Amino acid sequence: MIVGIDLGTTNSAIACFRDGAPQLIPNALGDLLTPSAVSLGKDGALLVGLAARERQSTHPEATATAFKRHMGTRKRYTLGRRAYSAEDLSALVLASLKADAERFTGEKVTGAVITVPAYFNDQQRKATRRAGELAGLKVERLVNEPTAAALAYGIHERGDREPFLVFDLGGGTFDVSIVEVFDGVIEVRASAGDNRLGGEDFNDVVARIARAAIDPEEKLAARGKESLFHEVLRAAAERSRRALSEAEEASFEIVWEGQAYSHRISAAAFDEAAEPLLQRMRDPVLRSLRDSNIAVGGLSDVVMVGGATRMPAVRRAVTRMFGRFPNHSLHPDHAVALGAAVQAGLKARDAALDEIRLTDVCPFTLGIDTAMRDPAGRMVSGVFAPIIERNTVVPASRMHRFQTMVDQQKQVEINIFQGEARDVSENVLLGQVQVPVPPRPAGEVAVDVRFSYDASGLLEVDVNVPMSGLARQVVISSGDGGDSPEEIEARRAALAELKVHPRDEAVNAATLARAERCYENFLGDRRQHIGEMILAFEAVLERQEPHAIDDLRQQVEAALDLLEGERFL
Amino acid sequence: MSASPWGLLGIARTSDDGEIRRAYARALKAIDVDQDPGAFIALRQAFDAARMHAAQVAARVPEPALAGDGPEPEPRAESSAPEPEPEPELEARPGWVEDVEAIQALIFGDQTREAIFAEVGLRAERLLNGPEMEQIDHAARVEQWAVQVILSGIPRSNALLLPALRRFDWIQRYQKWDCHPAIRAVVGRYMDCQLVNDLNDGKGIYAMPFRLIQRGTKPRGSQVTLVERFLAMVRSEYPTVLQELPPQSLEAWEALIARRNNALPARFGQARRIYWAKFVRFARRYKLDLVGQVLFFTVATLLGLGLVVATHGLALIFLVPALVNANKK
Repeated sequence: MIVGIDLGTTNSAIACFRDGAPQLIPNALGDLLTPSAVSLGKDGALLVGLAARERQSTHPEATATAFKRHMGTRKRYTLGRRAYSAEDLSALVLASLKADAERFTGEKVTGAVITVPAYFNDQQRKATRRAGELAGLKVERLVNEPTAAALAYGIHERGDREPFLVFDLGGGTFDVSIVEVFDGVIEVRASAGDNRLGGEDFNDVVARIARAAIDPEEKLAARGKESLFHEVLRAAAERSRRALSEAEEASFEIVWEGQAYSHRISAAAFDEAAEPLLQRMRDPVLRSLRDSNIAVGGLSDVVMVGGATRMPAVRRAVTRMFGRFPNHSLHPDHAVALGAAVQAGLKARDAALDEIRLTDVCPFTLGIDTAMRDPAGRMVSGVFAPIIERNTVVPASRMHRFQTMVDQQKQVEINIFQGEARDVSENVLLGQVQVPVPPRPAGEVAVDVRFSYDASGLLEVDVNVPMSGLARQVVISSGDGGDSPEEIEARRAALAELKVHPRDEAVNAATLARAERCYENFLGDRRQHIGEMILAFEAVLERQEPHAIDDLRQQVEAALDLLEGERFL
Repeated sequence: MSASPWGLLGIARTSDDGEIRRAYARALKAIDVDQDPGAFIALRQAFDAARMHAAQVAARVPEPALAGDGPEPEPRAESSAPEPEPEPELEARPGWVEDVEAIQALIFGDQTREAIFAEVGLRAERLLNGPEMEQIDHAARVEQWAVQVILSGIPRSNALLLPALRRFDWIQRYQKWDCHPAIRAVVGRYMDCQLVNDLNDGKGIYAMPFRLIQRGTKPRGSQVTLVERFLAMVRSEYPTVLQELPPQSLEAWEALIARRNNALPARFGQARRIYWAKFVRFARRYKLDLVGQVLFFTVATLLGLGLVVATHGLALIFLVPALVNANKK
């Protein structure tokens, strides 16, 4: 079975395509969303999901969250004795989702369609693909998040649609796509985005406001505890930001070194501080409209997805931008996973999707570096020459002809870049190829460069020198990314050896982690009360009596709900 | 791909966009894109070509029936005359229309540059930071208008240039490979202004020739090489700076430069002209400027004189005693 997975910054979800419709799969806790968090427990076992997220503020040194932001980079997260890359952590989340799906459907999960932000570059896509392989999934396709949302929307409301805009503001990334539906063809016209704009940035805004009030001289977190304090602030900020979506005012509360601090944040203050972030949403929107040559008046709808679009400030900004109210008919957290499941159904040739086709675009420009002469006759090198322009429908194949630059040149070196800047040093280097050419005066030798880009992100570069008949080919694949299958296998084995907390006990682990967080967040009588509950719960867990455990867990959850309001995902 | 797009789409030649799209959808469902990407690429090329054809036909015969829905083609007028202004709305005239009209009237009016600068700046700030600018299509229209007014209003549009440059982030756009030529021209204009500022502050070797032309002092032969080089640089790299210079003064200098370039070698005779040309080539090769040329001439003359004096001196020292001795005998 092929599943669809939304691997998000804050939360992830998994869905499958069954009985002609996409369907979300609940995790061990019965939730449809699984927090993208990994934490190392006291017993040395790794916790994944809600339990790990609850430990973010109590055990920040042993917990990793929002690692998608560092996908494809060298950043390492140290949990206990071992350092993990963002790929490894994502693989753990994916493995946990895979286990949920296998339990739910009773079938073996063989392949997956994983979503990535449309504006993820080649390295980030490669890392995501590797994470899937590390989790033992064959990654059938990486699909862009707004495209997946559009697919969910297109299936949801069948029939032709004038171009509409998908506005996807998630936990860590922001994407915009313009999509059109005609005769069962769902066609993405343009995508644009910002890899570093999402709910997490709005949390930082809340944390900054609160910190300015609570700790104006920044003295609280001296003594090398800065990162720990930051995690505590971040966890509390998330809570306040969610409260601000519903009320005009919300309290920000933390307990730090045995002392309670609180601050009331008004929605107005938050909106003002978030203004620079709201301004950053304009650029990708403008770019996608320009690239697809569609005016705002030509859009039939603005479809909102992503958890951060619940914020009233974002909704207002979007309304002002387009001069109309956006469409909220899709579930902001579920749409992307559902769309991924539709793509999985397409891949598995599900009969219900026989009349549906999807065409996507390559959201960035691919090209090579060249040299040219400026008007004064000086040679300028490092000028980007695009070959496949962004928002070209994929699969695509394009050829450009280049000439030699220097007399008696013996070799042409072609560097392959991805990006939008005219100066190649600002773009991402994907690969290199060298081709010998017959030495002739400058400009007499032509070199043909052909780029072929397919839907799963495989770039093939063919270089051809017609004068000598010489041809070279390089394949730049998102699949291997320099790692051989053996290396992947070795890393997978290493990950598989890690002790992961058993899935059956995930519910108890989550409750325990939540209780511990509450213990840290409250003082006085209530703290003592929670402490007693934790002790009792641990005692029951020791005795391994399923009924007693279930009973007590429900009591604890109810008590915690009373204390701090219902838990959220 | 030499086959006609219509054959691949399986329809007769048509200008009906809907029919082309239906044919494309039908053909797309018949192929497996993952297995045969080549077939998709060919189909897509055929689709794009067919739609291009349909759009061209539609452009030649305007169809009023289609005007109601779908995006209207952008009025991308390339003429140097400014657009009237974004179409005012039918109900109450919004505040920004007044600013747009006033800025245009000031820039294309006949007051002096200095007199309009402050007011244009003030109105531009208000226009560009108004609440309507939140709306993306309004902002896009204002941007287009601003580009045209700035480019056709050089050099009087500087007061609009700065706030617009900041508001629309043109510098950042300029660094992209696909920057619109008009925006590239506007940023070029901004760089020219930066050069003028530097020259006004007396920075760089060209501050002096710039001042000479700007003040309109009577052209002097001693400065002519530097002025000539300054003008050549400006022409190739900072073209709009020419419009900042007083035209009469510029004309006078250019006349002098032309006179010198034509007349100077002619003053020497036919034979000497060749030497002159050789020397000019020599001076160019070693990048000698006027001072260098004079210095080189002086040194060369001194050396020549020295040689003559030295040989004559030798003759005097050796020959005269010999002659005296011979006489004595």
